[in-house]
Formats: sequence, structure tokens, C-alpha cells
Amino acid sequence: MRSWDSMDDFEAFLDGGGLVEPDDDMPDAYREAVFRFIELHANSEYMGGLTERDWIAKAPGLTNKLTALAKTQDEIGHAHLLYMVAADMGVKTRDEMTADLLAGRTTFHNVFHYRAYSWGDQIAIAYLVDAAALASQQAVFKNCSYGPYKRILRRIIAEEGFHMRNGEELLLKMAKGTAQQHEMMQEGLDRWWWPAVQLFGPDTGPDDVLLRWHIKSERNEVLRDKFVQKMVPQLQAAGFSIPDPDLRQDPETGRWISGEIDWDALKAAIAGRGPDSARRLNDARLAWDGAAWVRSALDEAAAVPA
Amino acid sequence: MGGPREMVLALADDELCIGQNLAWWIAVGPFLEEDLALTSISQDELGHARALYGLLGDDIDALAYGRQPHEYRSAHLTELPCRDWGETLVRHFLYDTAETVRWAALADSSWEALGAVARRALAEERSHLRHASGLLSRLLRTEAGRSQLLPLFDQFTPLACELFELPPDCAADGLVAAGIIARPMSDQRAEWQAAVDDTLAEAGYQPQWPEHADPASAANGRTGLRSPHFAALHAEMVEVLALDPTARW
Repeated sequence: MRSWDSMDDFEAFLDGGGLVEPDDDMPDAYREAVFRFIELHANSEYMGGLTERDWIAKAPGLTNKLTALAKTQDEIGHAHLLYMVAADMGVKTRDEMTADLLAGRTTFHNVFHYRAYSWGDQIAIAYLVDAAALASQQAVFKNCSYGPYKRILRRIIAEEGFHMRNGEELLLKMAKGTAQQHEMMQEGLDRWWWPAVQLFGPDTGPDDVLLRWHIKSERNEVLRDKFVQKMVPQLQAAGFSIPDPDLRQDPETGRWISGEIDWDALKAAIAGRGPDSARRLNDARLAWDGAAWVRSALDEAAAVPA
Repeated sequence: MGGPREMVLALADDELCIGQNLAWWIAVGPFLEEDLALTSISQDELGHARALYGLLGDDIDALAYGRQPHEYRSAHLTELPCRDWGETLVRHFLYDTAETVRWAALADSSWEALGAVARRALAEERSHLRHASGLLSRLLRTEAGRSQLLPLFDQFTPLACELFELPPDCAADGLVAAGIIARPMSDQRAEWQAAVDDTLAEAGYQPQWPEHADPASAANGRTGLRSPHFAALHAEMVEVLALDPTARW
């Protein structure tokens, strides 16, 4: 176990590229901040799984069904790994984290407070949301100071990369498909564009501890801008429009500039007042409560020798 | 189709329905490890469906999703939604115990491609069965587990017997003679029933097995009669495909 005499020493360790491990005597504020960040990530993977599961049963064809199922399974697998890493920090147990999530005491990302209404939405999630999440995760991974988190991010990023490429492939099929497919895809993009842009969050404040402690390595606005620069030309090339009437291209730099972003929508979603927040949490609660007997019976069986 | 092809269609339809129903459990199981396990099994079963349909034709989606309900041959057990986790576990145990017996009887099939599918599936089936048996035996050591699960066996075993029935036009006797299956379905069913009895005997329970004068009279799904649950299951499977039959997804 390593310990540091002062926050200055600890921060110097982080600035030098040091990796913090669970048995280190890390400052409480750091432990709390990293824990909250990982818990939010875990909750979001779990709720992302619930968002996508509506369309697994309806996925067109066996190959799409198997791919959609594997993708959602990856998300639940990420949630599982992240909850274990978070629990190891000794702030809350896995059960406490689940209870807090289901009671609305903790949060998950804005995008998973929306409902997927069509197969086009399912593709828009893979194409836009997975790409946005991947960009954020890569930026965390790059300079991440908490060892266990950095190690599982490597795996998560590899899998999210597959999801994003699957989203690109399916989007192109829709682009080249029938008029109905094109329309379905455009509607999906219309619904998911802004939530994906908002996922990056408002501009990073001047003294964000997550940047200082090397959890984040990049400012929100920089990541968001990269996303917009990448997605706008791709979508336009595929024949889709961006649901942002004020979107414009800087005539000199050629960079795309978004219209005004509605941060109130982001705040409302995260606060549990998004369009599908209530149903999402209710589904999760019903499932969790419905299987309570299984968990307690397994605990009971574990306590009694066979 | 006739003969072995009808049999393969029935097995494929079982896998398609089971896989579809198990996939429902992603993110809503008793804990995340269990979500991951059931959806891995779902992927395996859907993979078996794909391999079996692939023995019957090149257009797998047309076989899996392009038929009218009366053209499916699934056993009614596989069509049950089982939205209660206890129901899913009991069906999972009955089904994967049955599959282990069924695949073993196909592993050395004279239809070589079918034998190859069966050998690959058998390895996976054994791990599915370990999963089901492990949970079941732990839960049956508790009062809550016994009261939740044991009544379900009496509810499901009559339906599960159909897993060892074959469609009427597949000339089951000829399949053994031709070396397509190693032994008659009735022998396989007896082995499966004994395995189920053994597991439940550990909990001091004897399930009630149906006594049919004519076992084939229970084989409704194999004749093309669909259970009341099939319509919703099928509607979900084909919802997007049905929007435009000319579209490629």
C-alpha cells in the first residue's frame, strides 16, 4: 500500500503518470470522484442494455439478431466489470449501487433516458451513441490514473469499436436501401442526433478535478467538436441530413459549427425526467424485485453445505 | 420435405423459438452474471438454428422467418414466453437435458453434415446443462426454490415430452434404419426422463409424467398446430422484415 503525505504529493504522482491501485491509501476526495465516475459509467452501460433490448426480438434476420444480442451482451458485460471495479473501491457494494440506481438516487447518461422507436433508432444508437461513448472512453483511457479502470477500458473500447463499425455498416445498408428504409433511418438520426451531441456534456469548467486527477484527458467541448466534424460529412455523404437548422460550415476553416445546444434537455434527462426515464427505471425495478427470491435463495443455499 | 429434412426443420424451429425467448432476458435477470449466461446460451441456440436451417437451404432467413405459422414445427414448450425467471430455469433445464440426449443421437449420423452440427452443438449443450443443473440444484436446497420451481415441473413436463416427437411425415422408423439417428426417439425420451428424475430425486421429488396411450397425440406443434403464444413470438420476429419484403437489412 502506497500513501502520500499531501494532496500536492499525490497530484505530482498523478502528473508523473502514476497509476493508483485499489489498495493504495488514496485521498478520500479522489476515491469519491473516481468511484462516482465509474458508477455513472456502470449505470449507463446497464441502462444502455435496457434501451437496446427492445429491438433484439425484432431485429430483421438471424444475423442482425445475433449481432444485436452480442452487442447488448457486451454492454451488460461492461456494466458487470465496472460494478466490480467500483465495488472494490470500498465506497458502496454492488447491491447498494443497484438500489441507489433503481431508487433514482444515482444517475446514468442522458441518451439512455430515451426510447428506441424503430430499427432505425437501434442503428442510430450504434452509429451515434456508441461513437460518442467511444470517443469519451478513449479520452479517459489515454491518461487514466486509476489502474483497474484503465485496464477494463482497454477491453470496453475494443468492443465499442466493433459496435460503432456495426452501426456504420447498418447505416450504409439503410442509406442504399428502399425509400422506406431511408426514411426510417433519417427519423432515427433526427431523434438521436441531439442526445448524442449532448452526451459529451457542457463545456468543461476551468478547474475540473476529473481533468486535474487524470480521469479525463480532454475537455468536453473538444471531444464534442471532434464528433461533429466526423459525423456531419459522413452522414451527408450517405444522403442523410442533420436535424440542426443552424448548423453551418466556417467558410475559412471548413469546420462545422453546431446551432445552440439545449442543455436543459440534458439536465432534465440526467435528473430522471427524460422522455423514457420512468419506464426505463420501472422495467429495471420490476425485473430486480421480481427475481429477489432467486438472489436470496442462492445466498441461503451458499450458506448451507450441500 | 419429408424424412430427415422434416426432422431437421422441427429441431431448428425448437432452437429458433428457444433462442428468441431466452434473448428476452438480457438486462432483466436476477443479476448481471445470469443475464450474461442466458444470453450466451441464447446465442448458441440461435446459432444451432442457423446451422440446421443451413442444412435445408441457402436462404436461412426465408426458412427462419419466411413461413406461415402452420408451417413451423416447433414443440409448444419452446414457444412459451416464460417471463418469470423460475419458469425460464425449469424450461432451460428440461430443454437442455433433452438436447444433450437428442444431439448425442445425431452425432454419428449418416447425414454427415448433420452429424457435424450435432457434435459442435453437443459440446455447447453440456455447458448449458451445467449452468441449468447447477442453479437448479442450489435452488432446490431452499424452501423458496422448491416452492417456486417444483410445481413448474408438473406444468412443463407434459409439453416437454414433445421434444422427442417428430413431425408425422418424417417416417421416424426409417430414420433409425437409415442411420440418420442412432436410436428411436422413444429410447431417447426414456433416457431424458430418467435424467430429469435423477436430478429431482435429490430434492425428494418425483415429477408426474403424462401417460399417453399414443405419445404422438401430444405432438401438436410437430403437426403444425401452433400454441397460443406463437402468434406474438412470430409477430415480433418478423416485425421489421414484414415492413418491406424487398428490403435488405
